[in-house]
Amino acid sequence: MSVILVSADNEQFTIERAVIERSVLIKNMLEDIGESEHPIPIPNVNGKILKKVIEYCEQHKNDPLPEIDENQDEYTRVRTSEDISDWDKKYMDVEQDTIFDVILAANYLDIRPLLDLGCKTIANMIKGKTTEEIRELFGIVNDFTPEEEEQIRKECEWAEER
Amino acid sequence: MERLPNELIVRIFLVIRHRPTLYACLMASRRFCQIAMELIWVKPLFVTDRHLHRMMSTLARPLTSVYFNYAHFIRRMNLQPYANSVHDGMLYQLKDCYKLDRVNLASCQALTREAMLAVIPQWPSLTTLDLTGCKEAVVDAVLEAIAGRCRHLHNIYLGLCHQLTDASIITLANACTKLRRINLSHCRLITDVAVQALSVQCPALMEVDLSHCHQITDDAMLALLPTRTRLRELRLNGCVNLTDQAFAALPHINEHMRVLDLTSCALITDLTVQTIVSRCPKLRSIDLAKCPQLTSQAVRALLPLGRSLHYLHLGHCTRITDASIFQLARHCTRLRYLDLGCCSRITDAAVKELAHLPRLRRLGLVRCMSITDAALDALVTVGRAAATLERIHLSYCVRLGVRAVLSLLNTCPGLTHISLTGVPAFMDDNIRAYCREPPSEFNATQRELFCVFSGHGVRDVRNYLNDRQRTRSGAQHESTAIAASSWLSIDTPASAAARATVAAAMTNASTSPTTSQSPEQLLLPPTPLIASPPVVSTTTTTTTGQPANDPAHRSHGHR
Repeated sequence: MSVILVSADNEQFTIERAVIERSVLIKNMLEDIGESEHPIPIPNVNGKILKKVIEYCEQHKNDPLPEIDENQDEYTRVRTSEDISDWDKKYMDVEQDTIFDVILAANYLDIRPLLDLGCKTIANMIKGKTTEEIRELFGIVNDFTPEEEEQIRKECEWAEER
Repeated sequence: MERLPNELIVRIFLVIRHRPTLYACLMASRRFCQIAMELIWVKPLFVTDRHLHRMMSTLARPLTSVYFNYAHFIRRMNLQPYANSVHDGMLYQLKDCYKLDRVNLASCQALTREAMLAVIPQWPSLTTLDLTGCKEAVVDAVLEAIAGRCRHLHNIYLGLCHQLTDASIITLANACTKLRRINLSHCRLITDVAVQALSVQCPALMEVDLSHCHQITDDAMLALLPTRTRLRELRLNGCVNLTDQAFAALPHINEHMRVLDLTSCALITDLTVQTIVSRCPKLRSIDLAKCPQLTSQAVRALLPLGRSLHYLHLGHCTRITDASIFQLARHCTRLRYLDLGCCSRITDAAVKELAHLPRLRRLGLVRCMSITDAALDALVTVGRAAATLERIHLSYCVRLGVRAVLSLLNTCPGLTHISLTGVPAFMDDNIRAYCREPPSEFNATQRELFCVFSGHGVRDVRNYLNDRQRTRSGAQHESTAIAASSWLSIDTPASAAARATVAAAMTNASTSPTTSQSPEQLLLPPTPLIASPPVVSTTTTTTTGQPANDPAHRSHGHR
């Protein structure tokens, strides 16, 4: 059985149900409305990114679904940034803006493994960089006053040293 | 990046485990700092004591003068690595960290009971508290105050807090009914009454350590065990009063039980092992050392555990024989850790069977004095256990020779520890140059016999012995006369004396044959041992790098 998705810019995609069920949002929606011929609008995602997301779902359609341990809170959950497969690495070898678009789409569509892949990719770009390099990498404007910056540095200097 | 919502930025930062990098990210902008400063503080880690002191001095500043209320970020605090520099002042600085969830103060012996009374009860969210070894401070009043306020405690570790009595444990049991793990090892005043209270009040208990609580009797187990089908780990090392009756109380079936330590429960018999195995089918680890009444029947009773059994300690169970070890090796094929130290009836035949275990990582054969080179040769020839072996203990296996040990060293790629203390063939200063430093508490005789190689020492002694073989082999080809002279050289007075010490120490040991070191023999299958002069080294010795007395070199791989 197939499902039709419509992107924010009105592009239509026909996808196998098993593939798009990687998205927990759409899976739940399909379970609620049952079989339907009607196209599903995805208002937050444009055609280019939706295509990219579907590509990921196709590739990973047979992966086991991730287990979520509800006992652990966000701050203490153990994560690993290693072990990105070659396919995933190549998939994420795109412009920075596209990576952020994919992260936003994965978050909206609730595709945990893709969201994690996006976050890992960005984290790997950041690794080992200085504050100045990070600002440059993402075009972030330093909006601290010099006094503020100095104060925070002093208060947290125990964490700064390598 | 700035178009991502806060929660996604936090998500990315959470992946960055390198803290200086995370810190660099936070300092990029005000927004990043606001949303993610907590990540730096949630579980502070310190490179050195100095960093710990700096963090403490930030916490000491008045709230009006700091950018964030950092105390409210902290959820976990592990001060054990800095135990020697932890003092009351630091504990007081943590008083406002009301979100603290896990705290480890183990071995922080300078902390006083006043500071603990004033601070720990201020952490109402506490789920895990480790006070192991805070001997002076942890008295009943402290534990009672903690129990009164920290109602969510799941795990509490009180090992060595020997001033505690039943009274405070009863208060704890009544107040913290969600307890899952409790360690009371070496709390010697504890009696059955405390265990009974825990049994009644804390149905969720999964792990209980009562090791060296000498007053515990069967009554404690009769209260604890019957209904507790979720118990996963029970340690009763040195609970010398326990009898077979204690374990008759085990629930009919306990699928969760994984770890049982019955070391030195000297009254138990084979019956206890049978009962345990019949009721705990998934037992993974069982410690039965120093249970002198156990016989081969106990080993046979373990067989139904099959592949579940990973860890087995039978040290000093002197009645165990080869036949039961055969069966063990064939049934419990996933054994990773096996100790048969001082099981004096064990012979080469048993080791030959153990050589087939595909996952064996550690094998203890200390004082199995019947063991000969043939046992090590079997490990080498079969090659199965040798492929995974990491630690082997052969001290006082007095009949072992250098040739067989070297061939074992050459066969076990993952070996990181080998002990050969008191083995006469290794009482050779040239070999012992690669041995690690004996523990400081050892007396002169013990130091003389000490011969343990670990970490780089294993590699270095292997290289040395291989070089020595090669040198000898060459020498023999060139000139038998020179070789012969070198055989007789360098039996240093020290090593001769050491051999004499061993001989004196080993009253039971028959003459300890050492191997004849003819290089040709190295290539042949094991041959009957020929009495020959003790192994000595040639003057040419090693071509390998490390100087033997390099302290950095010796200090590797402490247990």
